[in-house]
Amino acid sequence: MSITEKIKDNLRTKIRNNLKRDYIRKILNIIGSKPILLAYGATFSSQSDKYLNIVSIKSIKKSYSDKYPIAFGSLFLPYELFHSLEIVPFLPEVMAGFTGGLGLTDRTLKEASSRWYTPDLCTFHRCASGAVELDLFPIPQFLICANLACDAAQKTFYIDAKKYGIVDNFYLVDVPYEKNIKSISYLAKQFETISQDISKKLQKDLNFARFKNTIKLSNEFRNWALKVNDLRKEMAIYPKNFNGLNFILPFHGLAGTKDAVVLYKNIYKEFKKFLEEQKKKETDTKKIKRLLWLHLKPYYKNDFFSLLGKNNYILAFEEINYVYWPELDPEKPFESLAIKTLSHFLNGSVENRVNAITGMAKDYKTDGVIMFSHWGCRHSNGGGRIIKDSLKKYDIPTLILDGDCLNKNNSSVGQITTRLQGFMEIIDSKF
Amino acid sequence: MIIDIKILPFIEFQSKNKKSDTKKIGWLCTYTPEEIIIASGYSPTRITGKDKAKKAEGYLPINFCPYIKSALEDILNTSSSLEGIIFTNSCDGMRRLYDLCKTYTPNLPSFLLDVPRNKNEIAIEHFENNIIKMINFLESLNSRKIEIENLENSIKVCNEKRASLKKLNNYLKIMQQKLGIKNYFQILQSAMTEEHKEFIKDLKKYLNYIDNEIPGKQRNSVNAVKTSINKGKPKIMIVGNFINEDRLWEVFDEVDCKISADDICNSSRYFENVTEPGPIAGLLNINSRKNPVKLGEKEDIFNKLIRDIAIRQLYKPQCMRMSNLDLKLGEIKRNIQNNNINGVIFISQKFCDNTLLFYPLLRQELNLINIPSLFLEIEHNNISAGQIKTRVQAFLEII
Repeated sequence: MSITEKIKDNLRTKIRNNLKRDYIRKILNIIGSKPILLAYGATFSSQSDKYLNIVSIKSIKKSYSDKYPIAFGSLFLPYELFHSLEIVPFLPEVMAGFTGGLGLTDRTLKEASSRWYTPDLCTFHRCASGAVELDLFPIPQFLICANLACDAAQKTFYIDAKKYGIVDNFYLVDVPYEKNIKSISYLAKQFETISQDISKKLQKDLNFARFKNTIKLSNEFRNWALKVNDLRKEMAIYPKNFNGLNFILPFHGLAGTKDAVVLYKNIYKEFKKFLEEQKKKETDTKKIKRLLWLHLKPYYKNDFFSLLGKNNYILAFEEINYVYWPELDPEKPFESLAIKTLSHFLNGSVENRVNAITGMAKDYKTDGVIMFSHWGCRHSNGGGRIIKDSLKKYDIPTLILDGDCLNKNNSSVGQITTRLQGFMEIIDSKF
Repeated sequence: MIIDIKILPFIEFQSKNKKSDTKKIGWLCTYTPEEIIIASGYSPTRITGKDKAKKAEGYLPINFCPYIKSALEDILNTSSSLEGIIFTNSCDGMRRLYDLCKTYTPNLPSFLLDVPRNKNEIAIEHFENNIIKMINFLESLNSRKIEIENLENSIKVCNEKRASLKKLNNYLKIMQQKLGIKNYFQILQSAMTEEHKEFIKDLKKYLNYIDNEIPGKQRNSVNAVKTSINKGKPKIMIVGNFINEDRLWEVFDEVDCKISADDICNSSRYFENVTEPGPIAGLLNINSRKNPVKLGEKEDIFNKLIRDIAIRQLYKPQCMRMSNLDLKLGEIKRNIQNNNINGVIFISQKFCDNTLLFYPLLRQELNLINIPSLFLEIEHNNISAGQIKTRVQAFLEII
């Protein structure tokens, strides 16, 4: 076990044994202090992993610090809105993934069950709700969610708002089904109204200069992310411990911050150098097969990715890292945020997702696509058949892998392993 | 003294050998304005998922709304009898159903009506725009323009149907044993699926029969309820989503469960509120538009009618999909108070996120007002009647 793993393991055990908000805050204050964070950063074997951990810890530490107004946010919101309003975002769905990584799923799910959340519902939302009820998350001042790609978030956020007694500070961003001039205007008006209301409640004026600056930073982050994604089209080997499925927090929650810019700039630098070295070494990559991963990954300890690695399979790209939005206009902040939201390929018809996926499959020269069919995600799983049939037209094999991202007890490890092995055999037979 | 009169089931009053030439447009969610479909010259018919999902199982995952699956089965089996389908952006499941129909029944024209989740001025305006798009879709199907007169007439027809169903619902409250819960829900099913004019005619005939058979004093008297054999029975409110299960309602008849109020998708949420939003708008404090409608010009009248429909649809008793769940809780609590409800039976289709995630909140609120509740999760077209009967009986015994 590496030093990094030992540190992580030690922290997991400590948090599991002291399951309180204050204790989590204490731990975050210790590991989030500059010298410790630098020392901790030095233990990582790759720059991308190091910066990912640093910016994530910084962001979570800030949300637990009690020094800033906190806002719960659902995954697909444009987080530039939060940073422009100087409210610190906290993403319960993403943090549910962290609780899974910490091995707390059994406790959060049990708590949710005791409050009548049925097991038929998405585990991310049940875990997040359980964590809220166990008082593990920071106390929010606002809750903002969108109906984009998920019905469950808006309901659980509302229940949270009731728990904290802040229903007046709950905002549902109603994302229209189609992207057109009228729907952009409808959505932009909602962002503007929410911004005005939050500013008023914080006794501040709407700071347009801040919006402008945030959107500039967002564009900068977007450019680096695009560059990283371009490099990945050529990459067949990655620096140790890189897993693109880990970047969901910075990719969404930190859009519009310097941290996101620093992170993606460093990933780019590392990948560029790494790729050049591989080219110099003339590493044989012919045996490596490239996969496109749809939806998220299991967050509990598992060997699925090492199984793929051992068989010369890499994740050439992940759907969640796709830069789906155009460059934003800093002069028109609300319209820009509306355009960003409406550009998401998970919004509207599944055709949008299919077009994005087939584009990714071609760009990253993928040999196969794996769609992790997370328990309870009606949005993603309901489109599985269409996605599979659409990729078939391009002769791209697709595996719809049933499982649960958080609840190990609801995923059959043996079945997933067998299905992965079978899928690899199908692809191997083509070579 | 109560005269024990057996009320015949509705089926005895339905016109036989109905032959309607009116072409049908399918719909699924009560946020679909039937007025628009009727005004375009079609007959709206709800896709109720009558067929058990077989082929549909191959298109959707195992943990998916069973009603949506059965609806897909209906569409795959009977798409040729429809001229088109109106879907709504109600939930993740419905969006995927629309995708599947577009992909696998490409010859069946379909349209998705985007229904906002918030209730405010910009949401109404957005909904008006979307209704206009629905009009364009329907006009393109039969190359017939919807005129003001068509809309005015269709609003009248829909309001007449809603008012008649409301009257029937009132009868159910005071003479449920004679009317029958299963019979009541079968009438609702006919209301949503049969040709509207024929149905209204039949229902009026039926309501007249009830009026004539049951002495007025008894029918209208509060004593009728007090002195009937229902005396002492707990009053139950049903809350849920689309619960269209003959066998389930038969169980309720069998255990003599007195339903005094409901909030489900195929009953009150379908017929409550008529399209006359002037007073509704006033009550709900909706701001008038920036450019007020000047009645007189044709376009203005047309736009006002569309706005009326948009407001009626958005401000009818809301589905759990809507944003403000306190409004939903308020509606339920008002019903509990007005009907002296003793207990709530919450029934949801499995895997319905919007409804299932409402229950934790509802249960919490009901506990505060000391109303016990029973949670029933069912599977469309596949209910376990014996188990449900035992649970309902046990619930009725404890309250």
